Amino acid sequence: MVIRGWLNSLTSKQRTSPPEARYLYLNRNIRLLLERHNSHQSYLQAIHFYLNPETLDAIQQAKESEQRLYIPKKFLSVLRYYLFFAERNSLTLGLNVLSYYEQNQAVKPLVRSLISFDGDIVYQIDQTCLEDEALAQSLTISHYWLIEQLLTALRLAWTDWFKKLAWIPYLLILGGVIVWDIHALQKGEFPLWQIIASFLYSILGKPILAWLLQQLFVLLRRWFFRKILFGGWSQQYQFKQKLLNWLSRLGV
Amino acid sequence: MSSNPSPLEKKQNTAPKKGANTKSKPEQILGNFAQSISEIVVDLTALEINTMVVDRITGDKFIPWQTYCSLYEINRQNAQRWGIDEETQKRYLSLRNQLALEYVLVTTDQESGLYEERMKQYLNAPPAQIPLPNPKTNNPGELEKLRSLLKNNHFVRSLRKMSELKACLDNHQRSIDEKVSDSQTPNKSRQVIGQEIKTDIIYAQTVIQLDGDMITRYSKEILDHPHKDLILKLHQESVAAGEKQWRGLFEFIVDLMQQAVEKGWNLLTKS
Repeated sequence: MVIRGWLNSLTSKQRTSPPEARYLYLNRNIRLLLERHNSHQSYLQAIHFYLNPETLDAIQQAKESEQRLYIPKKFLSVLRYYLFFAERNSLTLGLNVLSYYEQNQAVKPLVRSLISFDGDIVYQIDQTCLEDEALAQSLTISHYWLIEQLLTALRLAWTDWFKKLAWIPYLLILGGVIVWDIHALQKGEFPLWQIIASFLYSILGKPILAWLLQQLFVLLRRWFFRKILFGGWSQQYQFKQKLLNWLSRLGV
Repeated sequence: MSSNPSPLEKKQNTAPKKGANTKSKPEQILGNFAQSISEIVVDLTALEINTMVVDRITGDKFIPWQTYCSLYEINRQNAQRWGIDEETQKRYLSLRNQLALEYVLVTTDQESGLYEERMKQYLNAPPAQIPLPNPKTNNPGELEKLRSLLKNNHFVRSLRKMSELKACLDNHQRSIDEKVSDSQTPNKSRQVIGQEIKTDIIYAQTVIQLDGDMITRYSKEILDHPHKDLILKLHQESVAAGEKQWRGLFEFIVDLMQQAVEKGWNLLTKS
């Protein structure tokens, strides 16, 4: 049984208000095709992009002006589930993406890519598309841009996590600052620089700490993967598997 | 393609509802994820980008059992019976050999859960001698073995790639059949017609090794293709996009671990 899902079925109606100008809305143009595996499990069979001359132009403009594709959180969580967490997930089956193109009232898939997460990519283009060089290029660029937007959106979600985590050191340090200020007040010496420092910390402390945590995490992550892919752990197959299983549970 | 299904069709169905689609426990979900991730990191040795021009893009489903059966039945006698020319027969047989090799690799890996001591003797044997489980057998033990094999993630991933290559060969054969039945080309051999058909061929392949080495191969058919320059441009586009996605993959894997824990935590706290 095939289940079809439109991006816009999970989002609100088309928005055009100025604050959203940094996003491109292609609500009706992205669809997940799910296949029922058994009575209670389904898997992601393909992602379909529906493109036409207008959407190709819009994507080109979005690319030039560095707009991002708007993807509702709920859609993202559905996508994340089928890509990574379902029993038959795309990490195993690969990600199958088809770009359909609408021309002269006919809709036809013209570009397809199968992305296997262990490093194989198959890119296919319909031969009829080669007759129109500009279309072939534009479709290919748009196809890859949309895939990149979806994968980037999945990646970006974790930045919120650092913002939440930063509250802990922020509040601890803020406690220290308050004690320090009270102490200064009791002594009757409360210099201007201390007032400014305390004020600045209360305003800027949390975003700075979140940024520092993120940088630290990036360094740790690089070190970890260098070690596991090229370093001493790279030859220890069994250890590597156990370590990854363990780390994924810890969330490192 | 089914054109415009109602947007409402999905709303009830696709969301991974806690009761229906995600019946598995949070631990199981994390387990699926951790297993897939660790296997991928182990398998990831290089990035390979293939560019193909096809007669038509099909949205065919990938069904591991079906792919296995279709590869299993490839042999020289069948290939001759199907009217496949000598050159293409070699390609079909090499896919069958690849299937056999993957089977030996899985069954000689003690970690796979499908380990068989006796399979070690086939590690250096010609692939044609490797005893693959027969999908048409009546032996329940052999069928069970095949079912377990088709649940092995590494094997399924390899099978998917083989299914793509086989689809490419099958489509090429179908185009030849169509041309052969065309009354305008009654005297040409299948091999000559096959050479004239410009679709379902991998025209360019780029392999980027983990150490940064890059190797690009081109099929000889690209030399006299009328759209040679465009195909090369598109391939470059795929390589650039593929490399970008690949670079992000390492970051991605850890990010996913992060999200897995967050998701698992949410499920645990809400259940």
